[in-house]
Amino acid sequence: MSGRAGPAHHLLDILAAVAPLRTWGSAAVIAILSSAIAYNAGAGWASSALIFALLLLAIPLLLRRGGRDAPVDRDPAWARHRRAVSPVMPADLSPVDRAAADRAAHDEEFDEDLELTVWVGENAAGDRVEETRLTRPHHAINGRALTLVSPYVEPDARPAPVVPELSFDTEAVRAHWQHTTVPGRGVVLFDAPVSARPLRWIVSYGVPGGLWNPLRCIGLDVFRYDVRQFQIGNFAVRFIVHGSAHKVFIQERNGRGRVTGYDRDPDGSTVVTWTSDYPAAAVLYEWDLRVVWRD
Amino acid sequence: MTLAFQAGKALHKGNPAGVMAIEHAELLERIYMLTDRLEIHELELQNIRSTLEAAFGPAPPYSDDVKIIFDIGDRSVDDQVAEEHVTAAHHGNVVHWYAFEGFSRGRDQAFQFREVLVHLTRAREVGHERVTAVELTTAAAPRALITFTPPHERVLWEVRYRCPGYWDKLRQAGGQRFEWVPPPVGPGETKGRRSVVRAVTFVFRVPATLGTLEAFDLPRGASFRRAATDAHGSTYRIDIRDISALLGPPATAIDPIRWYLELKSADAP
Repeated sequence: MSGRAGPAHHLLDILAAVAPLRTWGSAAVIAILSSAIAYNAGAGWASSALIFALLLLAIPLLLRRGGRDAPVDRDPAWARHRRAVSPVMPADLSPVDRAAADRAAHDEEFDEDLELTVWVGENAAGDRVEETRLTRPHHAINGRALTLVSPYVEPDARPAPVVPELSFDTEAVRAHWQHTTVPGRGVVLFDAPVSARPLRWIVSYGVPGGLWNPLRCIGLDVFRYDVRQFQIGNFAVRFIVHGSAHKVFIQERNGRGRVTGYDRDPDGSTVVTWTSDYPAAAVLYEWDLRVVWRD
Repeated sequence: MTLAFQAGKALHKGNPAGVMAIEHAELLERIYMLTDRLEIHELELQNIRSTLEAAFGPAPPYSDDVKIIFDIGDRSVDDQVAEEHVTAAHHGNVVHWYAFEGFSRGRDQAFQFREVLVHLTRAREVGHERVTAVELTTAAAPRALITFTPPHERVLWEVRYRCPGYWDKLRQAGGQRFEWVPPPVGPGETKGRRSVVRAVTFVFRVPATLGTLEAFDLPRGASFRRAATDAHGSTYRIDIRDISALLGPPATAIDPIRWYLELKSADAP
């Protein structure tokens, strides 16, 4: 892969940022054919060229805004490789944000309780995640790097970007979400450093295209969550499965924690609460989920 | 295309704009159709992977002795892992498959198996022995279902993959915590072994340019020694004979086996 750099690839980078390269390719083909047709049909050189240019620009942009949740996108291997080995911090942050994000990423000066609430909807639109965090800063922190829960899509498909909603238990704290070049990853940048007391906050978001498609189709799925990146105290996950589920079975694969609650909500959904041992081990957790759906 | 164009031309004689409009509508229609079809295929793939993972992942019926060789690179991109497995049937008579999980430090270091896979081989016994890998997830660690055709009661196989950035902390900060979670047995297996891995040997190959390696906080029963040194660098070995004994009684969580590795630079006093 080395030796694949140069002006041509900067152009490719820019094109790829607007739309997948494959889309550009298709657009070019369509534009060439259309202008050829137009020329053949008696249009002049100038108008054919105009048609070519318009189509070349319009098709990727139209497809991009076409309202499709997950346009299939093939990342060139060299870009993926670079993404894989690049350090935590992205290239698309402003210098100020990047400095703060950098500190946030390497700062382990806090510990945190985490409660994940995961909604398994009746369809993709019903899939939601809410992360309730109680962060105890050991000293002032500027930000918190987060990875949002996202589906295991085909490796070549890039998940649609998600901007989570942030809410804090005090009006004094404000922050904004700065996403990174890696899909699903970003940094919550606090407008002013947070230090004084434990901060309780909620990150909530839907998942475009759905998080639980296999679970809905075949009744089997695996949910993984990595807490190796920070010091964790209490850790709990609440699975709220839509009322069309008849039975729900959840187990952590490595025998960590246990299911501490199995209830039915008034609206018919099944709520399974899993709680880790205390303090939670800093590992990658894996839950096997099995659901029997009503017909 | 030409036919459609001719037909359109015949229908709209003297009106090229009309012909073009028809052409574009058809092409856009076709693009949308193909995108839809791709999305359906993607969902199907998701389901297949999920079925394979949920069916095979949690209940491995084999046992495994493994030697894991880390090539610590001069640079990030040179980090490589080689695993030499001796996989034997534990439940049943033969081994058909192995639920493989590659090394990864997690979110900072996500990559896909088929991107990093360098080599996958199986020792020949009769000839025509095949080993194949089906990638299961694109989650943090690369995972794959390795299959053996034909199956055998004991299969010797090797996998080598690139693991770019795995030793970044060791190179940059001079020290890194090493962590390995022994693959657990299925939830139905309540007594006896805790992990499918019985014995494991870790080998660390350090290039001379990086210096020498030291290990701290080793788990009980593990020994660390320098195995060889030549002009290119040094090789270190850590042997753990009985993983299940190390993990303790059943019904407890499987904690990662971990220790700390430090580089002593060659030019330091």
